[in-house]
Amino acid sequence: MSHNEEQGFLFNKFDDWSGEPIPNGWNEIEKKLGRNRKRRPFFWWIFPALLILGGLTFYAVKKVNVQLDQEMIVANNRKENIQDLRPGSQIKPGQNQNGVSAESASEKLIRKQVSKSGGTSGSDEDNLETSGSTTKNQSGSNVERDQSAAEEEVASSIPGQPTHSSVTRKKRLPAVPLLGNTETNLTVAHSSELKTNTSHSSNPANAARSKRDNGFSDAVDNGSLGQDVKLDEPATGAIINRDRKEDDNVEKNSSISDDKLKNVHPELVGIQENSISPEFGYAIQFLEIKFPAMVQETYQMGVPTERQLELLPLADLKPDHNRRTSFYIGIATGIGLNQIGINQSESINKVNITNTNSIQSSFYLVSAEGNFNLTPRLSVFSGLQFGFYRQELMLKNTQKEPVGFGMAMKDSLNYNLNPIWNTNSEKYVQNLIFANVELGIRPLISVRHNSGPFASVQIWTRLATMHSSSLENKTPFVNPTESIALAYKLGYQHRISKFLRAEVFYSSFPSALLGSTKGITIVPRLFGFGLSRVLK
Amino acid sequence: MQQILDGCLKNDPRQQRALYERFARPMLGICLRYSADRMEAEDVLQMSFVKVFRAIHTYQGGAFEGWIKRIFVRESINQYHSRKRKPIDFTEGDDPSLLNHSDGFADALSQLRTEEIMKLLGKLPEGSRIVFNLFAIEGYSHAEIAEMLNVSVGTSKSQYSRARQLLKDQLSHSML
Repeated sequence: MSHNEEQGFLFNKFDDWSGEPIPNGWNEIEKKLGRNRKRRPFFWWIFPALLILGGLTFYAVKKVNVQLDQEMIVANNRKENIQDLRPGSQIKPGQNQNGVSAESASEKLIRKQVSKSGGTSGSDEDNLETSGSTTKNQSGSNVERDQSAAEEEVASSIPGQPTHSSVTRKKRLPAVPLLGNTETNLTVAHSSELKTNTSHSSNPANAARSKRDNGFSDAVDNGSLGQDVKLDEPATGAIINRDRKEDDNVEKNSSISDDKLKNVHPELVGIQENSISPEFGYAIQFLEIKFPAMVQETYQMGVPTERQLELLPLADLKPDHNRRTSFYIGIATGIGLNQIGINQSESINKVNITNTNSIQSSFYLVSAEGNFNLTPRLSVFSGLQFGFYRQELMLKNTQKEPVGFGMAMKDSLNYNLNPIWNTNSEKYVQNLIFANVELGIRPLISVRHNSGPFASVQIWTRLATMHSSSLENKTPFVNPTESIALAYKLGYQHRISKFLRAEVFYSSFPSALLGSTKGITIVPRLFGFGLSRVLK
Repeated sequence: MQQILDGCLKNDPRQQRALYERFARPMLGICLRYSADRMEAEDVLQMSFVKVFRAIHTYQGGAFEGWIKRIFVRESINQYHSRKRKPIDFTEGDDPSLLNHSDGFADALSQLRTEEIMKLLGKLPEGSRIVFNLFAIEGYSHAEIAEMLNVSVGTSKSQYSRARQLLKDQLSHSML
């Protein structure tokens, strides 16, 4: 048989020879077909979509926080108004701290000439800054303030609670000094701002009623102490209801001279049309301010009980954390613990892993996370993470096919062929750039619970994979089989400062996103440590 | 068969699967002959089917089995090259003119069962195995093989001679 006669001489032998493909062979082909068709659109659309989602979340969180901040600023301004309204504080000519002009304010002022019996000016300030006092007698003024009202107001004065709640509930006001031996109980309803209609001209009865109720003397307006006004007619526009017990012995109508006023409020003399008594500087301006702010000012001085503190989430006590939503950015790093499987029969090379320490995995990631408080104890969070994963393997490769044979002669007829193996040490490196989105739950931080466990599920995707080897004839690389894979994360968080949160976590790693080396299966698990900072 | 081909032209998954089920076994046999191990053969099989589905519109008629077989052979060779291992050493081998082609080698090999031949082929160096597969089993000429492997005709012949000699040695060794 010549050389060419052997061409195809085994064709018939192998014509019917076949192999049995793996059961899921078709599925693998479908994946390759499907992945090749869909991968590109997915790759280009998923990340802009994630960026847009993250941007919207950030915008929403910022917007909510700004609104809350503004509410808190308003509340703080109210406090400042109260302080500035105290006798001796600076008020700009023509405009008070609320931005209300003196002219407009004067329309709301209820002027009344009063007698300075008892020196109530100093005690007024005490009244405003004292919380929880039960009864205080001062110069014939009977001031009531019971403990239950104080406790009720404590709850309503906690930042984050609706401040108007203290007003909508029928509440006894803090002590306001009134003239003479007058016991006065103010009740406020249906409004967070007290307003008084002082339209004297339209209804003399109203004018007289309001003037008298606010402690002014008719003499200021009319120049006389007595005026015949029928008080039984219903008042219009007033939302202050006052239960009043008048003491017959009280000198209701008194007068105050501009000189006395000038001594106390020199800035008011000549600016406002009507003089204001120093004592009723409080009473008058009290009508101007936001009522809850006054309550808040009162409780700022008070101290919540320990029990109340325990029941309240710490976040509610910290204005910066008093948000329905919050936004975090963070970094994390860690190592991978690898579970290794070796199937030598499927490997082209005989692969030995030199030692377990030589498989090194590490990762680094940055994250952005939005938290939404579900309950005072629990929040749900959604995050976006970008990271880098690196895996180094030290392999000892021995090719299954000998590079040659050494002949060992026994005698002239017998010899042995000994294979010569090519053995190399190989450093095999895989790098993965990944992104993932996660959804999970976290406990909210409170006084008693400054730390706690959390959990999330993650959807990972690979952005890029790279692999390299120290050898030219490196161990064969098997491409990743998946573009998207699920994982989970379990961890424990601890707030280490007002704005900083630390966490340790354990996470599964979707090894299908990584390439592999033939004959070696590596399933990594991630252990990491991260720091996150809340954004203002 | 025409229905399957028409379906594959329309990317019909059912017809594509029918084509796979019809040709997967014989094509895996080809892949196993060229590949170093079964895992690689499976990879080649899958990649080759993907190529078949993508290139099926280039099928101009004639024996479809021959057309698909050439794709699998070429894909097996490409897969070998893509592994970037040590290049096939085609320079070694005996001078084909020195070989005695009347030694009954072909007859002896033909007496073996297919599985036994596969075992012997598995022990050949890859270069020699590929050339032997192409020449003795597929029936390609040395000129075609030289073109496919981008080597000279002489190299193809010497590789075949080398494979032949190694197989002959193995046969004689097994008889001992």
